[in-house]
Amino acid sequence: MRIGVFVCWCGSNIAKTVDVEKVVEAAREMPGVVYATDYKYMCSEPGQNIIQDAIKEHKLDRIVVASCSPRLHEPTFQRCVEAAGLNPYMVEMANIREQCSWVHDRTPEATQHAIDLVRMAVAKVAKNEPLTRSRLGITRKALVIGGGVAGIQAALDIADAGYPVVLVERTPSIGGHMAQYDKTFPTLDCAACILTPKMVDCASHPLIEIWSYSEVEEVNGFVGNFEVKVRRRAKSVDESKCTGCGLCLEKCPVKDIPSEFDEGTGTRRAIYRPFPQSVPNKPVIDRDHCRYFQTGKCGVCQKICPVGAIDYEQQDQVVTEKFGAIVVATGFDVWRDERAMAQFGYGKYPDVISSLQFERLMNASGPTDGKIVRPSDGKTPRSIAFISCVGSRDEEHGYPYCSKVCCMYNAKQALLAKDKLHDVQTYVFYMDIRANGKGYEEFVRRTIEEYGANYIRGRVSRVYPDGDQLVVKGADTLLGRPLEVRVDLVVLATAMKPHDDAKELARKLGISTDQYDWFSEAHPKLRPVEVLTDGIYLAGACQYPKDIPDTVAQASGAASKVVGLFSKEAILSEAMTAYVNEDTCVGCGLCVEVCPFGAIELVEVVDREKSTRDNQVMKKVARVNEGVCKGCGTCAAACRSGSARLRGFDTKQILAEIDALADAALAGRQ
Amino acid sequence: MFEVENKIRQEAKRVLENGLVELVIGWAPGSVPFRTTPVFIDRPEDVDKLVWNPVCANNLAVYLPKIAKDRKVGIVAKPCDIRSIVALIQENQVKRDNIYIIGLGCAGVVDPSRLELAGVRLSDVTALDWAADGIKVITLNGEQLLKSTDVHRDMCLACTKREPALFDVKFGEAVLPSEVKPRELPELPEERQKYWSEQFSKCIRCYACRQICPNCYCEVCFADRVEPKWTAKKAVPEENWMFHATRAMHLAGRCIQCGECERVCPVGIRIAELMREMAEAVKNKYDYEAGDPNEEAPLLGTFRENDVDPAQHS
Repeated sequence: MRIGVFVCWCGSNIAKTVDVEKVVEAAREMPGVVYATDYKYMCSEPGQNIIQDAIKEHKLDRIVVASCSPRLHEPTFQRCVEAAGLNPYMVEMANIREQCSWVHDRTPEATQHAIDLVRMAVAKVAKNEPLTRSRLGITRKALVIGGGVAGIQAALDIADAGYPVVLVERTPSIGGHMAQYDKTFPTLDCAACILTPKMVDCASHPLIEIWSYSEVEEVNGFVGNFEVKVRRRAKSVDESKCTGCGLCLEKCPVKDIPSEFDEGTGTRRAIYRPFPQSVPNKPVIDRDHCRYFQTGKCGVCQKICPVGAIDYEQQDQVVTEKFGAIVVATGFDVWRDERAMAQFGYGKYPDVISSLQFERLMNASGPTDGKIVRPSDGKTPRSIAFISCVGSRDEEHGYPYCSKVCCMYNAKQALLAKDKLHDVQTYVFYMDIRANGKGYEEFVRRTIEEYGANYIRGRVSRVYPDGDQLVVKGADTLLGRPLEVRVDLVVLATAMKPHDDAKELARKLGISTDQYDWFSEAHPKLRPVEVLTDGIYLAGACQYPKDIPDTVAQASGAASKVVGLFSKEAILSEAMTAYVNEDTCVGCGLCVEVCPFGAIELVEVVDREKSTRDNQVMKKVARVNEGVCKGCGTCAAACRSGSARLRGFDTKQILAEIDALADAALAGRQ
Repeated sequence: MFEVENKIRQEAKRVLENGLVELVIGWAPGSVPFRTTPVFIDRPEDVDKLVWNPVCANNLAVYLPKIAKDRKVGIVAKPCDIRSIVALIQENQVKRDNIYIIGLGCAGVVDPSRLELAGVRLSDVTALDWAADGIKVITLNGEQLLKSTDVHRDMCLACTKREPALFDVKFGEAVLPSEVKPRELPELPEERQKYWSEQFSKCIRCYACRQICPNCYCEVCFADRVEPKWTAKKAVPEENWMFHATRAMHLAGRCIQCGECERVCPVGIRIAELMREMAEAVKNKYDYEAGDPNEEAPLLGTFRENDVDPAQHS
């Protein structure tokens, strides 16, 4: 055994706290070590050359690099030694930066600590065994969950690169929130004008299948080889026959269902499509409200349909399909907690509405054909107050985070209101204006300076009615005085929040969420599109509030990750995976329960052949799917019988580390 | 007692005769009247060996993982034994379909070593039975009525779960203890350490506690492993600590409080007290009780949103 130890200064990160030369000296005395040296940046090209040259010159067969966290540079040094002819798993990292120099002052203890860490790594590497990664195939077909602008963009980009995509959307139409908007900041492009062509592109793309009115039920498998169960809910309309003529939509007798798409500002029928430009453009029957499904009597749509497309007998279908990658683009919900918004009278006074409802009132395809009117009496408002940060930046009632887009849509809505109603007076109550995007600050200035919006810095304490008007009571903190404004309409910039069932989807996908249930990215800066589960990518506001340009950019980023994955010949599996000693496994199944990746299952094996009875004695044992295993070691920690083991972290390796440390301590820290 | 005993025998006969089970595990008279012994009955004509009395101590669930693996087995079980069965089902050691549970309402089991202390001449004893407010000992010289608190096992004095939680048929009435005996452990950590050091120093490493425990079903116990050698075989205090502490951790959230470990310990280590301490911690922190058929999975394999982080609440 010939171990080489390479101690890194990390510039001054390590060297200013730890006496690197002393660590090298101590390493030379450790069992099995034949060579030790130090260098300023071991990860740099000259540093890696030092390692590779030493491997050749001193015939090293095991390497310890004492530097930073293995999370940062383990792959770097694995590649380095592999290039010099060693198995990449013959490298151990001693983390003398995060776990040593950064937490100590320059003291002898710091150096001693570094020596101990190196001693443990040397003891461990002596027990390392070469590991190999196997090659796994890839199903080159992507699943995109969520048909908003993020999902649409991701699906188009992946399909344009030549790979088939299934776009799953929960509602009857793709389009998402963007389809609800009137115009978009800061360019005031009509949202529908820029979105609907993309929706049509999706529908007509030969490589994209849109599964609307569908939800993901179960996700199994691993990168390149996911197996996904999708429930395709019964639309009660035979899509192969329906021409989308819309006759049924006019004749359905159930007329008064609040339209989800219009945020309750308008109504829809029991057979409906969310909006005229829906994709697919064929209606569905909402069975919870349909008179036929509720009472068994009606059938008007079936009688009137000229092509006989109405099918009341249709059943949900659960489809299982294989995918190589998954893009999660499920977007956001808006905060609707009426109780928490009681101070603003939301849900109590009809003329207090949410920004998304106001968006529908402004929209030419909305319930009022784009006329801004008060929900209470249909009159044109002469004054409107926009209140920002409703539920955002408000730990007490809502969420502590900033919803990021409200400042901008407040400005947009104030501008558009003025544009449509020339003599309206607009007030915007704000905490501070966050307008950091291309053209954003200029846009807000334009709303204030050219469109006469009255921006008032201060929080609103209460909204209450007075006659047929509303009084907005708050404070102007710039002038330092209380303030009351009488207006005809109040618009609340409600917070963006994760869907209520975001956590459930996260669980199905095996990905993590943050404290609010937004999906967590793999690294906040360097891996913002990936999650910790390989082959699953995030796009859009399901991760955190985002505006449309950021959403589209991330969607294209996610798509490029998928395309990058699909363009590989094969996937290399993890080498440091768990395995089970089936002889000692008692099949208690605890490892199955604790595995965060669903990589372990119980299988029945022959325990022994029996001569007295003409049957075999079977037993259940745990078995690891090494393609799914990420080598976290939870199973090995949970296993009482010591049957679950982790390659690269075998008990004998861990004990060697502990023994090395204990021996040093017992010997009085030589 | 005899009524319940007869019902057990009839039921055992019935399930053996109609082929519902191949074997019934129960208790038979022991070598002396104040003890019983496990019995395995596979012929209907042998069912009269079965008994039910206050010294039916053994938790017979310990035999299930091996015996009920590939055949249907009937088992006569007290409520605590049934909790063991539930735990074994949850941990995939037996299939519910393979066992037929003859469940018994319980009135507490007697610790024979306490009879003498209560003034009974053991050589005179001919039978024991439950009485309205205690234990009736029938001796050559007549009957003696003893208080439950004087002669019950510690585990039974602390037990309030005397109704079978899972069964195919149930006989007998549960009688709850008039008061629950509190734990007797010292409060201060250093005193506790001393207490357990003294307890464990007595250990001769016979592993009776492990062998009798239905939950200790590993084919190769950590204590028997040679590579790595987690604990040496010699009975010295530090190795004893390693054995008992590790065994306790392996049973954390799993022990169902039958007290068999303590009953069979030849040197009287208060192992059940340690287990009870652990079970109470689990109950307080996670609102979980091992052996509850309403729980779907073992505690350590279950994650709930409101689970406390023990690191923050210790």
